[in-house]
Amino acid sequence: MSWRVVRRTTSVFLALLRQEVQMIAQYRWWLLAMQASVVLVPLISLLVWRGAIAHGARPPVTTEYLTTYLVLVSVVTMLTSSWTARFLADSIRLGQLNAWLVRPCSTHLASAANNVSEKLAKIATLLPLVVALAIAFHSDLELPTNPIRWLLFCWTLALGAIMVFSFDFVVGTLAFWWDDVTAVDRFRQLITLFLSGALIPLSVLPAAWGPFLAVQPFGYAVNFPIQTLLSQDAASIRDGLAVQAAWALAALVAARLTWTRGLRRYSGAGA
Amino acid sequence: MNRRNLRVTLIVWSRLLRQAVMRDLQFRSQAWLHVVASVGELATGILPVLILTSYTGSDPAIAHTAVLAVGIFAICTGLTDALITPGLRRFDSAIRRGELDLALIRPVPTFFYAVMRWIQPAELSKCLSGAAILIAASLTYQLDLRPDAILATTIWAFVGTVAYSTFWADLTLLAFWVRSIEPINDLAAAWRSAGQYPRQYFPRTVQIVLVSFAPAALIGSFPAEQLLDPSTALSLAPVVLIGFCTVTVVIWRRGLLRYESASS
Repeated sequence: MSWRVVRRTTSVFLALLRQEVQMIAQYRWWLLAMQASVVLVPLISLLVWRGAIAHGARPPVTTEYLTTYLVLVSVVTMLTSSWTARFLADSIRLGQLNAWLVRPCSTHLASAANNVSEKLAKIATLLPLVVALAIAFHSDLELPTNPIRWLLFCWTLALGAIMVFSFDFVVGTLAFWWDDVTAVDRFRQLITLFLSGALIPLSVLPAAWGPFLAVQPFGYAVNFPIQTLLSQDAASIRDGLAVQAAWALAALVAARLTWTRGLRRYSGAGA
Repeated sequence: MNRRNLRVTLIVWSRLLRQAVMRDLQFRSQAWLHVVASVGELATGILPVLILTSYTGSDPAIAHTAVLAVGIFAICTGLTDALITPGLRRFDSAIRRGELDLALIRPVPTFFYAVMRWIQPAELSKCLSGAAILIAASLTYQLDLRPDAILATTIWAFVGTVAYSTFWADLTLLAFWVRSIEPINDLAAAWRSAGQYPRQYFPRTVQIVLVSFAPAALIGSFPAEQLLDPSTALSLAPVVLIGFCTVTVVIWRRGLLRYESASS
């Protein structure tokens, strides 16, 4: 890729980003309602688990771990989430992809700009809610002070976001072959919700599930980034970093493969 | 509503149902995937509850209530997700794009048509799974279910289903006042999930909210409690029902006054 292409791509991306931010700023209530729903699910889990512990339940993790995990989970889930499949599938089905295919830049810039800009707007709405939650449960909150852990957290967040975006993209490209991919997308979201640890920490799942949970990709989107802050086991974090990188690479390759194969089937007026 | 209107409404509803079934038959693979996803949603709901109860050895009554609550919750949410929530989820765009006009000009109650127009029969599979959970839980825990307890549970589950649907509708009707409020549906769905956990686990204030203002417990844990101990007076049920429906009717009428066809 030449310097000129990089410059042009960056310029288009920034223009799209600005446009998306301006558009999303028009929907303030939309943002607030969405982020409130994102916080609500872990909040319910948090209240229930604390209530269960108060009633004598003995989960394999401490109250401090559960509280910190469930306070952080909404931020991590939001930052690693992706919603491009539905829009990509629509643009393939309705032939709207044409407009992007003829432009002298990547077809995926719009999806990427939409993802980044919405996350910027969402984090601005979500953070006050999470801070309020953290203040309410501050006595049981245990966050590390070591900056290396926070750097690792940011790195795993970025890789998790790339992995989820790529998997989402793969689901969207299925529209090259199928008319309707909404059920597949719903299924993916469902699996991600449970196996990523967005609903409950993977550490409280039965120990027998351990080997499966360690290799499945979804846990590396939400559970693993939080583990880099909370886990004391350096070896498991080191292994996790390698597995996460491998899954992110595999997801990127899968996205590239389905896109190039699918594009051959695309017929302009719709797939 | 007179007898003729009622007849027309029932005919329209049956046609809408037939149309929805035909749609699912046309897109069979998607319909099956929706069935699987629907059952999967139920599984993601029940697994956290089962995992939670597996760590609670001290009070078996709570564990029983928890599993029964998941079964009742599945039946109630299966019904609403098949008949009501698809329409509520489209309500925001119907108002923003002026599509509500189509409901206003029809000779049936507008609210009924706007909300019940979109039916997803595949979601009813959740009801079957919920019934299976209830039967399995009753056999496993060897529960001695009395007829009055079953009646109380059925009545409260019905009241809860209507009450929570009206609460959800109240939130959705904010679309008359606020531009683009579609994620309010996710908020209502997220809060609804609190209904499948035993009420005792929540702080006192949240417990009160769960059976009053935002009645998520009425579609899960509360009817489950009635199955084991039918102590709440049934005379309260119509009061709750009328109360929630009245609030929705008032909001609907106020909102409709603001509606300006293509934009509100």
